[in-house]
Amino acid sequence: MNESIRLTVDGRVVSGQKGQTILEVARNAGLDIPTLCHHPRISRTGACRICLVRVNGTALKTACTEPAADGMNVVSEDAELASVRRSILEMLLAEGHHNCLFCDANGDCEFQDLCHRYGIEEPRQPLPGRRRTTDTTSSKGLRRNEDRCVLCGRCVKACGEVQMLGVWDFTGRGDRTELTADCGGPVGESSCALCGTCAQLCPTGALTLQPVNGTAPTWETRKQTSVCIYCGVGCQIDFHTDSKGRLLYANGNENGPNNGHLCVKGRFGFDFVQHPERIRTPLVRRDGKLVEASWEEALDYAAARLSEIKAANGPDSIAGLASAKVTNEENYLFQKFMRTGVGTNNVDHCARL
Amino acid sequence: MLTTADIRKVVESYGTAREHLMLVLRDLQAMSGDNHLSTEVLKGVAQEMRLPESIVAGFVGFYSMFSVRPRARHVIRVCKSGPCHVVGASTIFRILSERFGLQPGTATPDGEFFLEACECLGVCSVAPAMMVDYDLHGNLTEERLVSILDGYRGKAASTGEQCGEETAGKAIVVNAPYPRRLLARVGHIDPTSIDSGIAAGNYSALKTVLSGMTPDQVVALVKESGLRGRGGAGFPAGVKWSFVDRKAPRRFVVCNADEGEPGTFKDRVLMEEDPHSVIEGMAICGFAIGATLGYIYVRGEYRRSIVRLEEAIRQARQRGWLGDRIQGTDFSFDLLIKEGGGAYVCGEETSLINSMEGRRGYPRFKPPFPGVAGFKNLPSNVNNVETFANVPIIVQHGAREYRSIGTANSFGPKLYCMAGHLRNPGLIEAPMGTTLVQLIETCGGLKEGSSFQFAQIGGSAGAIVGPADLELGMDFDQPLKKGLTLGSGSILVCDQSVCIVDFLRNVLSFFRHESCGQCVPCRVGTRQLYQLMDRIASGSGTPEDVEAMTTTAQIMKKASFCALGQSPIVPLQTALARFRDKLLDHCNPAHPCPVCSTGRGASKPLTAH
Amino acid sequence: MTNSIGEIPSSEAFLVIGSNTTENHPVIGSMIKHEVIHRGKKLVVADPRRIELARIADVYLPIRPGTNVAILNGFMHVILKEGLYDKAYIDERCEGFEALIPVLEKYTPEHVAGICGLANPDDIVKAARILAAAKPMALYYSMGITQFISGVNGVKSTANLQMMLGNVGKTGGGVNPLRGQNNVQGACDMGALSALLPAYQPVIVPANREKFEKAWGMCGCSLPEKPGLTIIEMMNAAARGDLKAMYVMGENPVVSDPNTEHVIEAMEKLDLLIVQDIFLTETARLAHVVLPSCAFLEKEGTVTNTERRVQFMNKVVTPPGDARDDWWITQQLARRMGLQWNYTRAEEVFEEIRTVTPSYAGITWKRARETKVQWPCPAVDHPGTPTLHKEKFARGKGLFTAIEYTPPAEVVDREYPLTLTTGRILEHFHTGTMSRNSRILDELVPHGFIEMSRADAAALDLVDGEMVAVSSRRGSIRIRLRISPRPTPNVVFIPFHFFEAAANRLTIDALDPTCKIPEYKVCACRVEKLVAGDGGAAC
Repeated sequence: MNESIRLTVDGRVVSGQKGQTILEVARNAGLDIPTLCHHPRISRTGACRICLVRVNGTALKTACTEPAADGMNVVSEDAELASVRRSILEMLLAEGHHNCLFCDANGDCEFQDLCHRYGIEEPRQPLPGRRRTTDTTSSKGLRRNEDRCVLCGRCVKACGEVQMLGVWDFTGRGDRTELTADCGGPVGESSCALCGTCAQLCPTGALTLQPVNGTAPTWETRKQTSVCIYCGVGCQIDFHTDSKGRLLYANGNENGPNNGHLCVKGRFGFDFVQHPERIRTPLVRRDGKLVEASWEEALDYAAARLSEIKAANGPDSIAGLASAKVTNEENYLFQKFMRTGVGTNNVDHCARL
Repeated sequence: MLTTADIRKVVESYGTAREHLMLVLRDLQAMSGDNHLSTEVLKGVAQEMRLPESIVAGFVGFYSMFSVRPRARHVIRVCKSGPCHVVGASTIFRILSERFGLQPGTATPDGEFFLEACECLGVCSVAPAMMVDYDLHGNLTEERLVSILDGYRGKAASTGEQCGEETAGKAIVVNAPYPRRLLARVGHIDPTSIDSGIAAGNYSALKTVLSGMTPDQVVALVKESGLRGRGGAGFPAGVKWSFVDRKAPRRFVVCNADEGEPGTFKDRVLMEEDPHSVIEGMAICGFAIGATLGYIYVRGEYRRSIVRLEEAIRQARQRGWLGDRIQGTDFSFDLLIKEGGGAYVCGEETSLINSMEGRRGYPRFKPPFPGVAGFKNLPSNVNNVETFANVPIIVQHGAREYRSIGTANSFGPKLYCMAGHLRNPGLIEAPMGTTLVQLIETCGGLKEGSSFQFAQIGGSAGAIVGPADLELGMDFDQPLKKGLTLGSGSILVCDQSVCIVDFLRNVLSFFRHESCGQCVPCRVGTRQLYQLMDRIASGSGTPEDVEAMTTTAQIMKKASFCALGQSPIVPLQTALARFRDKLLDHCNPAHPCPVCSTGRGASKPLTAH
Repeated sequence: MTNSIGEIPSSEAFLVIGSNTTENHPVIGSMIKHEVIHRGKKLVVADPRRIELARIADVYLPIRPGTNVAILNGFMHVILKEGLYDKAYIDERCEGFEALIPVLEKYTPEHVAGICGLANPDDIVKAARILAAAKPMALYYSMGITQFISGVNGVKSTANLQMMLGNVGKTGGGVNPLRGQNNVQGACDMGALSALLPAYQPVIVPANREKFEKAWGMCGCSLPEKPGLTIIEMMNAAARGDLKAMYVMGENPVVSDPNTEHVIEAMEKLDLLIVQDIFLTETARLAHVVLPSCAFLEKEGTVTNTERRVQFMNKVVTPPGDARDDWWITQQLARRMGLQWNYTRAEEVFEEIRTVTPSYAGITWKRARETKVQWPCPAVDHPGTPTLHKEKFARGKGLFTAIEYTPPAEVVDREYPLTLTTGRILEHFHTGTMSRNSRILDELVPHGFIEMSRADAAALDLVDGEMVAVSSRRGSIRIRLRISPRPTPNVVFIPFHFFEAAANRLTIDALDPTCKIPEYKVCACRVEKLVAGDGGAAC
């Protein structure tokens, strides 16, 4: 079924499978072809034209859509391709209103990266500003600033192919093209389920997530992967924290069973961890009131009382509830404790609830 | 106010499949009373058709025939494309402003009329022209304009095929010195009667095919004839047919009748005056590629074409030339009509397929080509109306005779659409390769008092040619040698009154308006080009702007997704090669151009032909 | 799940029954929608509410709550009648099919439509044919199958259907329960169950006990042999005074368990309640000792998802104040109770788990971090098991069980004329401890509500947004009314996340006789307009 092919990219012989695009083969081989509208989680688009490469000496083809073929000779960049890429970037810069200083995506922007890479500073031919929609307040989860939109369509496909709601589409035509959420109202009043995938896939600062717990410059944040605490799908999430360890935002991790996707809970429901009402010290009831205690006090008290009750009423007068919210290791130890320390099988958790 | 029940009724009449979106919305807009689709209607359609609302809103936003803002009872669409522009479209706008207080995008206070500037309506031989509701009116003068509009007052919007009498069957240049094959029946038959067509030869080719030819033989015959696509690209039709994937469970024949190239009206004439020739050509193609269903995608503005085709299809089914087991053979083939919504880019075959499926008319990347994955992702063979109309001729006369017409590598007859400052503009059928000067002379030469300045061949995407190019043979290959293209076969002749800068500004505004916006080079480039040319036209341009235009157009040529964005370089570069001085003159503020400075181009007195 | 999330693209059809997938397992819900919308896969949905998936279903069956067994038997009746079952598969890989046949006889489409309250019996036929025609077909369910007194029967019926169609052990097929909590699978795997030791080894089997006694170095002491109490039984025992102490780790039974009044009463009777949690939950407020633990982002360890994938959780942030790892706290208690535990890292615990849990034997922290490994994974060089029962069933032959439909414990009457069903909503989770303490989620849906059809609301003269009184034989709450196209008439829905409008004050604590799951999904209730001065008309 899988037909193997070999082609030359920038003088290197690379192999791939029939059906793969030039881009896929090149990236698998560790070769870099710049892209903007392409994203591996959505269908092929070919609209931004940044990934144009030279095929067999003459034709310019978009690497993200062109099937790789056996014996193909691909040049990923030469003087002409670089100039085309520069021109496209300049056009985008001229078309939008990109001010990195005020942009949520500053430092985490694929468009900014490309402009750096190709040395774009100012567009040679500025266009008179035609401002598109800015709406940073209507939605509890999304911020929209279409002046920074490059109309790559990733958000449209993120919602239409991944989240499957189709909140976003393009409307208008030509240079009047813009996004519509549902029939055109504010995104906060749309059918959006706040999965945040559009913002995660947006290559610029056009769609960004509302801050949950504050913001920080992207270059000062740190990323760590964990597993979502909510349902049993087990989505892997990249959590971003600032230098003080404050949780900032969450993105779906593409290696998890979720393939990078999240729901509103996984996306926004993590700040309870740093809620001011978290319990910070053990509490022991004294005179009817729960008062702060040291670990020694609390543990000694609890263990002593358990032992007393066990001695007085037998181990089966004690029961334990483990948790579907803690780790395997912790559940294992808990039941081991109940069975060996207390001596009862009265252990359960909310599996059925 | 349209109710949920109204919406449901319309949806039910077509079906809930997405491909019916165009007609559902068209009907609902017509029912609205003021030619618009309210947000509630869009939401209702989304609900009934089980589509995300954004898809419905995005669809409506793409096609210029739809409006989400209330318009008026009657919508006046005045053509502003080249052929009308050079004969005084701007005067129409001036009159409408003076007499009715109408500016493009506004309505009369009484809610009777809403004015829109639109692109080519395909009646260029009677330019300047306009469409009121679905009725076309050409040869406009001030008096006619006023009396035509007065005739609409208080009346319901028409949806029929009234179309303006002056365009009916009269678009043909009479007494042309060339044999008529494609146009043999035009004007001689009653296009609403299949009997009349059959008596004049319709379906005799299909009969020949069905009485003994194999599909492979038909494909071989078309290949051998050398027939090349008449839509503009000139790809060999037989080769295209042979590329259609036979392994898929179903295949489609698709006729591209989205004739939107400014100055082109040949397909309209064929569909309206000899609809069975198109049907017959499609059926033969269906036989050849093993398709049982075909679609004709007709631009929405061509109301009369649609009505005539619908009637022709109905009669053909009745007479057993369409439907199950055609003429008692094992071959079954039927046709359906799809309508466009006002988008030039849908003439690009993959955009057309997207539009047929109820999507925004964005072109698709290729491969896969439509022959492998087209409509509904099934193999689809797309040809132009004129291409299909050539097929019965090939079958009837044989490849050899067909190849005897025309020039090397460009065989057969060609329909040339002649517009502009000509004595008798109209449609000419002539052998491929007929020279420009011969075609102009066939139209009786230029109008009284006019002298040839330049012509644009092949529509807005076509080249600008000057007096030195008059001996050019109009086939696929000869223009190419000079960096020109035949395109759709339209020829817009301009006299000394036209300013090339104003003309180019008009061309570039067309591209800007019609760019689909999907790819960056075209979306931004068309806007930049228009902005630069407008600056030059208004006297504030610089010689650097002239160079910047070339640079931008070249990037567009290299990097654009489809032919639309790759095209502006053609008129620009050919014009620069011949008229660079005029562009540079405009950059000198000391010499304001009398034509360009009026903003909308030449304001001319209107005279009837 | 017998199968994997990654197999969703391989399924040709889906039966979603008792799962509001797009709200409760949204990521899987989207994946199923993708297949249906973009790839033309077939979908049959059976649910009392017109959930989002119902909109795109080829057949949607709005069944009455508690009639899952009937509808599944109805499908099987049609499949049997029309000879659409996979005979070769049944012959080769299953047993007990003959016993099923006579039971299915009476579940004609008409009979089933009557039980399930379906207007058109033909829909059952249509659905059954779709399910039988598409190979492989995947069945997805959730608590809408299990939370009934007939929960076990519902589960067995799903297995009957899938074995009949030869869909078990096939990539893209399977019986796929969607687990509702991030580590409910792991908690079960680890033996946090009253009758089962780790890896589902029954405590009642002496050999199992011996194995663990040895592994745990119990030198002379023996493990208790009698299966313990399940959660609801614990509450009942506490209420009776038989249970004296409870140690609750990261659970909030006051909100999560049925019949709240009864739960509070029971817990208040305890001599000792130890609660180990991250917040002072409704349950923790009743405790004698509260032990602050780390939240999920503050610790490392493994969790096991609904497809049996063992995944690694990294520590992302530091815990607040003196909060500690749950395993550390348990160990401290254990040591004070005389156990010689000396785990220094959670990884040491996992290494021990591997030795006593054969399905985890081949999984290490390193593998959990780096690869996608699903149990059973008996050895380090074993790739894990994405699809269960592939070559043969775990027990050898797949066992059909003949099952009759039985009605729910409580049926509507004149006094309580509406059927109440409960569940979750997209924006919140379980008792709200986490989601309601997350700012954005809380702002999105700050209040509880009762969902009711327009027709029912009109009959009671209620308007959208008004506060209403809802009562059952167990209690009464005030709650905001939400008129919705989702519920079928005579069925109302309340999400149970909101303590101040707690659905579980109303729910019944009737249990499935086998697995002791409470019947959250159906009880009888009454909705009334609040009279003026009664604190109503809040909106």
